Amino acid sequence: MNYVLNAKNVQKYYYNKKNVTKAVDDIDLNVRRGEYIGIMGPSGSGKTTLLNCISTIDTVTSGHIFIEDKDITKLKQNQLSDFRRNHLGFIFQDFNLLDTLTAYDNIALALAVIGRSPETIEQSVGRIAAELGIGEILTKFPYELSGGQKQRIACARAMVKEPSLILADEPTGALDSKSAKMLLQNLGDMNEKRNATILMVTHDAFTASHCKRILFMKDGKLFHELVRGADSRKDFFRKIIEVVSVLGGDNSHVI
Amino acid sequence: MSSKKNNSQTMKMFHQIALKNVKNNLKNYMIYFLTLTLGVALFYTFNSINAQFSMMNVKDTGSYLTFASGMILAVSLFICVIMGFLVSYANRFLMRKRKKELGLYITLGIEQKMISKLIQKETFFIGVISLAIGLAAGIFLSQGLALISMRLLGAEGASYHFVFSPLSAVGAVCFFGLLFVVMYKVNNRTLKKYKLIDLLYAEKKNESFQERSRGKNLVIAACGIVLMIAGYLLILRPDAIKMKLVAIGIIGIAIGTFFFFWALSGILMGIVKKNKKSYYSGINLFSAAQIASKLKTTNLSLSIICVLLFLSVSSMTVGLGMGKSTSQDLEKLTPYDATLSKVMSGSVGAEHSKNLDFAQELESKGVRLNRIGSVGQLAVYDSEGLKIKGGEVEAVALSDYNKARTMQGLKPIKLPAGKYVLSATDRERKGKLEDFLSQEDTGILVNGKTLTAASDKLFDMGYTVKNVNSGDNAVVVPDSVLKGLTPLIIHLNINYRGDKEQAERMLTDDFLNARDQSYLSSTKNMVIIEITSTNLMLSYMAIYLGITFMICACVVLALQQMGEAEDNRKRYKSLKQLGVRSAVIRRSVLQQIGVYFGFPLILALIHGAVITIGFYLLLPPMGAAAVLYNICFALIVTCIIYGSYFFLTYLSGKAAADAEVSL
Repeated sequence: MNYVLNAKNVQKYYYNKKNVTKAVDDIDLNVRRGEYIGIMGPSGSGKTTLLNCISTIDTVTSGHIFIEDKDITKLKQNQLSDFRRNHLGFIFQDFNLLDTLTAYDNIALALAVIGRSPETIEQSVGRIAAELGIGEILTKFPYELSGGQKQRIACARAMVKEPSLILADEPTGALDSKSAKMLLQNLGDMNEKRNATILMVTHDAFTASHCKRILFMKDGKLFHELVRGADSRKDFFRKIIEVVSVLGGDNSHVI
Repeated sequence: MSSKKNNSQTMKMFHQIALKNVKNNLKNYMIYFLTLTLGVALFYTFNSINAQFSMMNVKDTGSYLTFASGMILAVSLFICVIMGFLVSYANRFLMRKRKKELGLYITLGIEQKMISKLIQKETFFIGVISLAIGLAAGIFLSQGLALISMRLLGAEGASYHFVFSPLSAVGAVCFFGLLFVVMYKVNNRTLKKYKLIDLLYAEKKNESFQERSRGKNLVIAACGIVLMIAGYLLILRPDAIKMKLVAIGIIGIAIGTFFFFWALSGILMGIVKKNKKSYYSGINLFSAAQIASKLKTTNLSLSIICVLLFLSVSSMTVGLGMGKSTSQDLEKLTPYDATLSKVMSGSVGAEHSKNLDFAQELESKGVRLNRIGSVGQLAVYDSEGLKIKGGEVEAVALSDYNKARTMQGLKPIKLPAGKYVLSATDRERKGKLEDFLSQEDTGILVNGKTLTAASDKLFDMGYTVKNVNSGDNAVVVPDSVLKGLTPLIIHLNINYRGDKEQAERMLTDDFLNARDQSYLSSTKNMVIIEITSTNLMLSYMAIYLGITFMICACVVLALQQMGEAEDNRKRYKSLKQLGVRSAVIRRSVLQQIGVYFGFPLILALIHGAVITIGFYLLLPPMGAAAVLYNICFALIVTCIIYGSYFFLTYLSGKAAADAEVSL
């Protein structure tokens, strides 16, 4: 089976003198190419830790993570950097754009570090800018952009090199609802048109409702799975809310 | 009772916090430490010259050495003030960095009073440590300086032994102690002025960039370069030795430098961006943007730094050279052990008896010449406005001149009737007189008689002991030519017999007792001390000032780089998330700091080279070895100081590059 991501028995424990915290407790996870998958869970459920492990930024305590059939738990520091560079794209809650670079150069940097020629860079950036509708803000510096614009630049930066897997950590966390909608639209388009594989961590049901499949985490374990299938986004959203309330997550106190 | 106990516990805790803070912030404080330590070390070293003289067995009869050390003390006070400003700048910078930390303490409910105690403690730790290390380094350095002084003074019978100057150590402790107290007071005041909200939200706001067009940038840069070259030309003018022109030239260079840095980032970016292949290779575009934004926001201070460095480098090369050049004529200035002179004409000597035997006259006044040493008289005549190539020349009789030569162990010269020879030691005059001798017509008129040159060779023998090379320009003529004339001055050259020290003492005592205002005396010993102490003072002040300027420039450079460490940490984190290796980021850090430190230094070195060349052309030639020695010294000092600050800055940048990544 051709999985982009194949995690087996992943465990991440934090030890101190007296007790062990199981942040990620024996998780199996498979993601196929072109999937748009969300991970939900209350804070402390281990979703960000899992994402950190998958994104090679943190190391697992035990278990294996294969991305493009490569076991990233066996890679060394520099190999990890190279792997991130070549195979992963990131979108962060706080954008993490480089403030000294223009929007264009921010996107171009992702291609430059993997050794693309200036001509290819120009073409690729031009194409993705057109797709995301950010052509007009390319010459601006990050401080001249709104949060939503910044996040779309960050999205372009993550997508432009066509990575195996795009990891998004609360991408709408710092955005107003209108910008969030626009960004999610963009992500959906990218998933549809470019067949981009997206793994998104969020605690927001609205954001999650744009995914095709959602995994729910609690106390470091996978708790439930929802597949959108032929549901409309609204129905899917309702189903998510139901699970969330059972999960006792962020919204439990409301009900 | 219990509150007292509580209080003492809190104090103990704060003591620990203060220590820990200094330890944790060590990388930031390093610049601070280095600067203070260097300041203390330099202060001690240069002020300990008094103690150094003690081991040199040099008689400071004219209190020249005391004067020199007094001058250096004055300069070091001035430098102390500069250091004070520098330290308070560095301090303000550190405080800004710690706004959040201090804000947090206040939010936790710790009183302001406690916090200022904390700062007091920190200041105390830093002060004590840097004073101790600085003094130790100073004591070590002053041994080296003593050896150099010994060589410069050429003191006979000097032997090296360990020197320690308690006075300058106490001085260093006092001045720098005062500095720390002032520093603490200033800190405390700033702290009181801060509002909690300012402390907690101390995030840097984005600076807006205004892009200039390429044309404008080129015009500005061209203006700068033209100004700099104009400055160079003013300084390098071979004919003009006017300080005014040099000053204007330096101002031109300074303004040119400012223009240059003003346009630099725009032009650099233009060039770098043009080469797309390398611009879009790896993280080059990031490095370029980092450098450009830094250059853009700091162009004014960069140009000031560049000028400071330029002054520093040239004061070291030129200052050392000036010192050396005054002492290199020493041999010509001190051909005998002493010279006594009597002014015959003019208001002082007008009513003097026409006794032309000066030695006899002195003997009659109780100067025991025959016991002091061998003497030789040399009378100098006014040649009635005889000028050769624009400069006056005195006339000397052949017999006097030959006597002077034999006393120096030289062969007497022969002169046929109707002929003359020229003698001069002043470098500038020598050239002109040689020109004159190579002419066809060498006829001159002395005392109504026309004479021609005996040979086209110019003699360069000094015939009196004196402290300035005023020339000893003379036309030497047969005795008969000067018959009937009254000499202007009669010199009596003396070579001591037996114990030189005793002879000199006897001479000075007897001469003082003779009490005659028309008599002048100068001894070899005094001239040597006067000249070498001036030399020493000039050299030391130049080095001291040069090093201080350099430290100033380095501190500002380093702090400006470190000021961005927090922002850079974020940027490097983003790069790492993009999958850029740490080694690549470190290389970028090195590039950034290298360019930032490199540009002002390179420009300053070019400026400095021009000034140095200008001055060495102007000063009497002193041989390539001496010039090379001075230049090497300046370069080594530059390398050590600049290098240490560069290294510290790189370390802090590297720490930012090596920081852990996380999401």
